[in-house]
Amino acid sequence: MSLTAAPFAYVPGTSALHRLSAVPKLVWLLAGLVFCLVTLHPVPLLVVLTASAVAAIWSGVGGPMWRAMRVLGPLAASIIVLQVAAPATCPGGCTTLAIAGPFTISAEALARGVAFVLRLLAMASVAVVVLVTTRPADFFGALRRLRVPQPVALVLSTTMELVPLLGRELAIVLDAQRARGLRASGIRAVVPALVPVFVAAFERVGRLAIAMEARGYGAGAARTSYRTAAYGARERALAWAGVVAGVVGTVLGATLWGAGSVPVLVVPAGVALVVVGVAAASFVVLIGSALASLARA
Amino acid sequence: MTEPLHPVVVLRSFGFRHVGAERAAIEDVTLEVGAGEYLGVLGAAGSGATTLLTALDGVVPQLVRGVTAGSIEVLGRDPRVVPVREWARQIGLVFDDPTLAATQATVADEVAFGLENLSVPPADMDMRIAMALASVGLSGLEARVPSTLSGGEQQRLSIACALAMGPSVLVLDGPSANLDPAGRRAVFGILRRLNREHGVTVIVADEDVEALAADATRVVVLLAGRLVASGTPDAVLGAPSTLAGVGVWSTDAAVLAEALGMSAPVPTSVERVARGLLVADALTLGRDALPSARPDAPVSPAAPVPPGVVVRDVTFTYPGAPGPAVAGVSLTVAAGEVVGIVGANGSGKTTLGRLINGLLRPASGLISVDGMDTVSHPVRTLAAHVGSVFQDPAHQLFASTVADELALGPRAIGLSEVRIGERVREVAEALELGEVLGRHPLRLGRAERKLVALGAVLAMGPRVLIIDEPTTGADARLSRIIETQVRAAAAAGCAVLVASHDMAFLGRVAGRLVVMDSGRVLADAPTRRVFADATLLAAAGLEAPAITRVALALAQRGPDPWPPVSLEEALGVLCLAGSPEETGAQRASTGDGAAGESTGTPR
Repeated sequence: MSLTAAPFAYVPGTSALHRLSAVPKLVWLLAGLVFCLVTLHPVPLLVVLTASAVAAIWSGVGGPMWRAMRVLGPLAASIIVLQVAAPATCPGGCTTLAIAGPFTISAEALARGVAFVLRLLAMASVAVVVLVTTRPADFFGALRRLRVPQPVALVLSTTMELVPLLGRELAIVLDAQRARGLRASGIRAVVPALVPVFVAAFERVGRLAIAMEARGYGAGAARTSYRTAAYGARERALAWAGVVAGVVGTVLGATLWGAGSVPVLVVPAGVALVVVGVAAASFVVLIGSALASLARA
Repeated sequence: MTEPLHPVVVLRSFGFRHVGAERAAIEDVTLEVGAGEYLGVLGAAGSGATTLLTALDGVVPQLVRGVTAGSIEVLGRDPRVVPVREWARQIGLVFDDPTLAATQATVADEVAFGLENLSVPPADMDMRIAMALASVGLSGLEARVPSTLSGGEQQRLSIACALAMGPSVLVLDGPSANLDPAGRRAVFGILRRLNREHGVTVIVADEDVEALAADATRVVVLLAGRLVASGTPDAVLGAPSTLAGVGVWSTDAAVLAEALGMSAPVPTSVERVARGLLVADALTLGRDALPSARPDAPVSPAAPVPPGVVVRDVTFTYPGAPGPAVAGVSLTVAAGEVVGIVGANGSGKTTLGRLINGLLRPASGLISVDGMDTVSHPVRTLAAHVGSVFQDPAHQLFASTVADELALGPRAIGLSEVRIGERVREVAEALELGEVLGRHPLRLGRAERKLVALGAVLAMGPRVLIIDEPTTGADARLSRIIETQVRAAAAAGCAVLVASHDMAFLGRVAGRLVVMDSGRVLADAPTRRVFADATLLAAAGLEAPAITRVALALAQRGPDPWPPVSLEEALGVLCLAGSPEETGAQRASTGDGAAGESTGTPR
């Protein structure tokens, strides 16, 4: 069995963030995600990204955070490539930075690409900090305390526990395919493999759900927590602070730092070409290596 | 036995049919279980034992949907109505898959999970966790990650998880499946102590008949969902041929005792069978000579036929693991030879198999399979020569019908459609899969899936066969089919490697055993010699099959070679004086597996 866990799986620890109740963490997570969704200005996004990175390092989960961010590499590269490749629409006319073969790199497109990447990374970083420092089982209690209906809370929190399972199952099934000598490469290998993966995973999920319920899971809102601090006045204040920060941030983000606010930096053609070139190259290399690893049968 | 005062479980004509199923999973079951009983539930695959057990805390019919019949009452309440999660305080449910209770970050968190669900104050948890772990012998492992524990430790952990919630009834469905012999012993030792010393009512369905015969206060037998026998273990298991008629194998010791002509009910434990035979003082030893250990096929430099598998000084370490999973392993399997790989969970058996079929590449050393080294040949090329049956068959079944599944491999190596059709027919006939050819492989039971996975591999006519745990969950019939196929493959010149905890099975099929411990080869010797070496077995956490233990109890050092390792061999060298003819006749009938008439089952 593979020893690799999903990059956002819970990492046990004893930091203050680990011990903090899941309720304020969930509230701040939600606030952070909404803020990032309405904001496209690179500076506030960079602030969010830095803040989560600092929180991660301070909680001793800098490594897992870095690994999770690295997984987003291909996606980030593809965002820049696609933004630049698509013909940009600029109300006041586009500023052409460089022309590379059939593609015209405009300052507006490049700025938007970079901003989208920052948004992606900022959102992911907030989510990773919370997921990596919170036991999946604690989400259920937190969601119930936030008045999320019991079945919904159960589905959401169990999903957290089960996502890493799918990755492990896929690896085993692809191995089995190779051992059966089936012509397996690229997407043609993955598609038939998905049937047993999902059958096995669903079977396991079903059995796991039964086992968890037989151990009393999902009984009600009064679930206690072995590790994390109780939900007291301090936690309540933190949660409310998260709500306030979320509302204020969203208003500020939407009015001051929205899509229209992205500063267009006119950089020399060489710099633009290098940025896009690196993105394109890493895009091609990463996609290629992903396909190659699937095809290595 | 005194009449139990407070019935814990009362079933009256209870039945259950799954949604859309043609026949009921259990039907017309009337059963009472008293407080403090230890009930063993026996039955062949598909007997309905799981359904019966999971009905006790409402999983059936609340989470597994279907229609019930009759009445069911547990601790005075109806489990069809009381929500499953509310039973956790009273009933501890433990499954055959210990990883189901290995989902949390640490062992302590795992036990805490149930306590949290019951809203136990966090201040009380440490003490309850410590007590639960102590009662299953896992004290000190609180900070370990559950998924890194051995299978046996995980199963003890799932029992601890149930115990922490303070139930008066423990219900266990196949707790010893997938465990090595030492792990089994530990699990059953715990159940026995909980029952005898703490008065916990234990209800357990398991393939380990030997443990149930020794520990249960009562056993019941299910056949196709109906209760066909109930009584003390001695009464029910003491009639092996009757029991075989309902698809259940008694203890190997009892089967031997019956075949030797001891009068019914025959004793069921190794010790009592041996004592009975000694007291009878009429036992003849050495009527036939045992075959000396099958010698390794001669591998002379001049021999043109390459040996099936050669592993030379191979080491492999998983990325991120603290130590190697396989360290300095060397072994050879000749064409036509069946070699068993034995050892505790986590000793490197599965890793070795994955190295041989090329899925893993050795960090150092050399592996050659059918004359090809595994490093320079891609797995796909090797697959035409090496057939692998994985531990979980669901992982290697891809087609939408059993027939297509069997055809997949031959098609991949480019056989003509005519030849493919022939292969599929041959394999289906040999594995008795004819009736399910049109079904979806993943709709079959776990043991039958394994048969399909084996068939799919055999259809390719492999030169090397690697099978991981072939008999887990298999009843007497499936076990016999697998045994026959392994023999047939070897007879056809295939080199066969079987990784298994089933010592009785290995005694029947394997000429030689490779004993592994912590990634190293502890011994590589004829099966007979391994089973006779008590020190070696103890060091590797293993146990000789019951038949061998009976023979060793009779004569620690019998006529050389000694001891017998299968029922067939034991009947060749042991017989009660005065009845040689009878013994011979019975040997023939017992060798078939399911002998005897099924009429007049004890009730």
